[in-house]
Amino acid sequence: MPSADAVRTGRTAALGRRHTCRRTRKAAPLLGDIADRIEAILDARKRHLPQIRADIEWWRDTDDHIAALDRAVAELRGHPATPEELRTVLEPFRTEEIREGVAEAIRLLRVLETRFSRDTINIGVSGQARVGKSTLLQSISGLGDDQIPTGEALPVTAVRSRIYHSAEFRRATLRLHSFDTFVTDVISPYHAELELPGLPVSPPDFRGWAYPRPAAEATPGAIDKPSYVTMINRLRAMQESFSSYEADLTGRERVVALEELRPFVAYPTNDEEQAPGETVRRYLAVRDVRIDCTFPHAQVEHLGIIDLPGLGEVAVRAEQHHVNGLQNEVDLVLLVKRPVEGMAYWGDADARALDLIDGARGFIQKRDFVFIVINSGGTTAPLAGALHDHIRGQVNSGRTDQFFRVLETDAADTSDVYERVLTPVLTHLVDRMPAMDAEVLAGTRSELRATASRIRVVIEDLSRLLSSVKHASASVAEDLEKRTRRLRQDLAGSLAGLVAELREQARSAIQDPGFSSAVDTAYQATRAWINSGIGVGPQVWQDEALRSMRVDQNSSRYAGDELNRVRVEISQRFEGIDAYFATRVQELWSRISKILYVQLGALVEGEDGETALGRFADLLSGASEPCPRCSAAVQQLLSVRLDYRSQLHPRVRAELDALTLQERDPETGQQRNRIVVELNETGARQLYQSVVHMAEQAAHLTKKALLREGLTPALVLHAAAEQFEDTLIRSGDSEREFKRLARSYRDEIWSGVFHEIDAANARVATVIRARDLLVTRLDLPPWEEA
Amino acid sequence: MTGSGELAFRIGVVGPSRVGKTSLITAVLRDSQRLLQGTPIAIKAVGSPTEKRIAQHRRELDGSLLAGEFSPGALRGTEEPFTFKLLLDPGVDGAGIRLELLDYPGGWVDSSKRPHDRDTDWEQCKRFIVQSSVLIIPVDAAVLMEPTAPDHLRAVPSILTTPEVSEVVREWLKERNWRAAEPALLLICPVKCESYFADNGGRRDDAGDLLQMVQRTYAELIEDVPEEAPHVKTVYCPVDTIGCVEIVHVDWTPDPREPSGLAFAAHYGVRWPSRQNVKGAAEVLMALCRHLMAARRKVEVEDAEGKDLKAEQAKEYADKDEGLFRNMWYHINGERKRRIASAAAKSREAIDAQKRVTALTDVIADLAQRDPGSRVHQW
Repeated sequence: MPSADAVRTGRTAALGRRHTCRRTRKAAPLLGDIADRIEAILDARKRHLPQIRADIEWWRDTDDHIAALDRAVAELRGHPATPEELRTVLEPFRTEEIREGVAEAIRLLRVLETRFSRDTINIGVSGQARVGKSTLLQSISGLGDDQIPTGEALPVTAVRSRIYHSAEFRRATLRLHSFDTFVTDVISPYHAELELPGLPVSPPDFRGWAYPRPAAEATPGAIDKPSYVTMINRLRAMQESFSSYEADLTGRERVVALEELRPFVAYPTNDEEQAPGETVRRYLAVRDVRIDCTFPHAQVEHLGIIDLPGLGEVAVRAEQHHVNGLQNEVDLVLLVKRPVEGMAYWGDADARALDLIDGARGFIQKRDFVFIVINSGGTTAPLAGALHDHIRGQVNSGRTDQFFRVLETDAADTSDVYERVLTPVLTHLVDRMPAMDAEVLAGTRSELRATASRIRVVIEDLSRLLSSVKHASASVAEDLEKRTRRLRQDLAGSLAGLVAELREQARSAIQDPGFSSAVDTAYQATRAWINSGIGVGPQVWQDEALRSMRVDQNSSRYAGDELNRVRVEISQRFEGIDAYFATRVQELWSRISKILYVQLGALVEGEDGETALGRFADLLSGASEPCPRCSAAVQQLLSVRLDYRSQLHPRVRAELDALTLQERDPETGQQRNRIVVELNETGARQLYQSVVHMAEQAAHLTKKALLREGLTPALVLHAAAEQFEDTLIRSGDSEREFKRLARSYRDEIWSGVFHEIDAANARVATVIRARDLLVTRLDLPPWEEA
Repeated sequence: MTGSGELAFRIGVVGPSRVGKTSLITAVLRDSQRLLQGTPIAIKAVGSPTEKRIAQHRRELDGSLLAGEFSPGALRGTEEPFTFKLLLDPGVDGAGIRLELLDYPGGWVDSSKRPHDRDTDWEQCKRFIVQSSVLIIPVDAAVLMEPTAPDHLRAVPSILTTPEVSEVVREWLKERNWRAAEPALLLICPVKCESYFADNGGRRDDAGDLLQMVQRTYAELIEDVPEEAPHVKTVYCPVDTIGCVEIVHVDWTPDPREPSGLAFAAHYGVRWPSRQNVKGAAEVLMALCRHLMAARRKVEVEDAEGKDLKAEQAKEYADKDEGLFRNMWYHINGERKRRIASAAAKSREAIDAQKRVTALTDVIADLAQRDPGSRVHQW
């Protein structure tokens, strides 16, 4: 932080200069106009900023989209499930080039942003060492050696300054390194050039870092090169003097009075270097310096003079820094050339320097960006003339100022500098700056369009690749529809087979042996019951008959009651075939559930028969897209009842009618008792025999009738299965409900199939989505809207 | 037929063992007088063996019924051939018909069951059957009506020896074809039909099913008749040979001795009040009588025509003019008188014969008017 005194001193100085400024304006009324125009230019620039920032944001997003597309393609290309054909065609797809284009677009926009967001018009001052750059800067800024050191022998400018005209302030604002940025910006380039492994990570680490000593440790290789010796010596010097600037490595800004600035911007003098003890190198802690002061002549607000690093200086990455600085910070460069004895010509170093600067002008015309300033101060006119001539011939192809304007001044003469350099330069700037800005803007936009166009080409290529193998990646919807159709067909086929089999059984004269066996079993059980004494034993029955007959004085009541009992009992005993019927119905359910399992897989897995069908019905009705008709078909199938009492008994009931006591006399037509016996033991025995015979006959006839009706179960089962098949497969809603079923239980029915297809298609879809997003973005980029 | 006068007709019966041939015969014969009541026809046993045979069968049956049970197997089977001899009197003098009806062990029909030493006897029986103008095929109705399973149905032809019976019938039909001028009658008689008709105390009416089963079982045979011997009448006459019994259960028992592998046995219960009440026998008898009367009339017509011609010739001979001297000589020696007497006698014979023809025509017309019965079917 600047001390209070320093700040006060700065302000006082600034106030003192205001008078001068006013005087100067009177002397040069043009300046006011220039100042206004510069302000207008800066305002105009500011208006571009929102769009530029939006553009930057848009390109960043676009880069994200391209990265997403790249990832999607890489995922698709690299997935083992992706068809080989698709993988092959995607092989050439690369985004590196267009991403580099995007990065360049962003960089250009950043340059533009920096340019347009500046509050000043900056004039850079460049040139080889010892050409009078600092002198020129002093003349423009009115600062002295303490702020802009000059020297006749050694290079003295350790830190380049940005100097701004300010009517109010007179101060220097230092931006200091932290230890990390010090290592990164200062130490690291030396390590890289010297190929020294590793970097110090802390101040003690740096202090104790073992740097080689060139003289003592001369080894074959790079370390022996003189430039490297220079660099290692500098590095060692930095290390040895570390304690002199370690405290300054705060990473913050610090305002200092201009009078105190020199240690922060100048190399030690030769005396200081040679003095015993530690050399102070506080400049090493300084990243850059901003100096605000009142210019003696060019008192124009928003004007900045940038001291660019000296070209040709032995400094690590100096030239690169130079260009970077030019691009971002200056609107015009003054390339200073001094025609001293033996150097009054445009040499290779000058040409390289011009090339370097020219490379940084971007989209601005050469003539607008670089002015060559011949510092003729302290030289002779012939030397200056020779240089003029040489420049005209070498640089401007024989025509004065054809490509680059050439100015001449005595850099040490403030007035001369103002008149012969600043005035034409500022005039040029205010005249040409809007056009220059437009050129930069147009040039950048053109680059953006070219980049966008390259991206479109890559996307179109990708689209062609994808469309060439579109068939390879099935559409889920199409596949599902195909599978649903096949499912319905297969189910129809299986059910038709079952129905045909049941129809055959129903129509066949051949009796179901199971049914015959069930009937015979029931019949034999009935006979056994009859012959064992009608449930009570022959003797007990006859004794009871006799007792009853004696009480009733007739045999009718007992015989009638017994025949009723026998009739009911026989009927009940034939209900034994219900077990067989239940088996048949269960069998039908089981077969249908197995058919369903074959076709529907995991949906009805693990269950059989009634349970499976019940679950299937629930699944149909409870589906996300309910299938009420199919569910009803299953419920109807489950409601099939096949039992003796409801299906067969009504048909064979007449056979039990013989088990009644009364009958019509065929001769008289009158009702008569079928059995009349004496009321004694013989009569009881006869009654027993008659009842047994009648019971046996009824059972026999019932059996015959049942076997005659033997096809009824088959008919019922066939009808049930056919009805189920009809409703499930051929009802008007069938096709629609099968699609609903398939959509609702896709993954259960075709376990894993759609997961894979989904995943595969999702990968393709991700690519397509990423591509489409990019296409949409590129269709209407924000700069086009603007 | 054995010739005019007291003609003898043969009636053949062909059916398997235990089918009820004897029962059918005795059922038809034992109540013949009652059955033919109201007709001029009478039928009676000729000779004591026939009478005894009928009485014996009746006794066995009655005993069985009195016990409240009936089992066809309990009746004694026919072990030796026996010819029932009967006389059918149409009530027309000189038009009586002697009937011979051959009963024999039914097992002989099936060569696989026939003892080798009885082959000759069977040949004689078969010769008798082939020469008969009436052939009766008794069929056990239960065998046709009780199958409830495919294997039962498959066993039916074997149990009824249908192929063997058909073979005999075809031989009979060939013989009938040779004697196309003689009336011939094929009677298919389901027996033990009590369980399938509701017209004799039974509760079920499966008459249609029974007829259908007979037609199905004997289809080829029935179709053969009009081709082999068109003049043969085929009549279906189901008979309740006992009347008061009903099947209470049947057994289809596996039996390796049977060609079909199954033995059939029907078990009957006796319907209270255990009185035999044959049904259908009257229809059989009536069919027989119609056939026999027609046959007898045919003989009588031929006889009458012969006699008429002879009377004409005798009259011409009696009235013949043989010249004065011979006429006078014949008058003197009585020849003319003898001739006139002979002519008169022959004329009377011709008139008598014509009367018998007229009488038999009336009897036939009378029988034709009678209801053949609802059970009877004629193909």
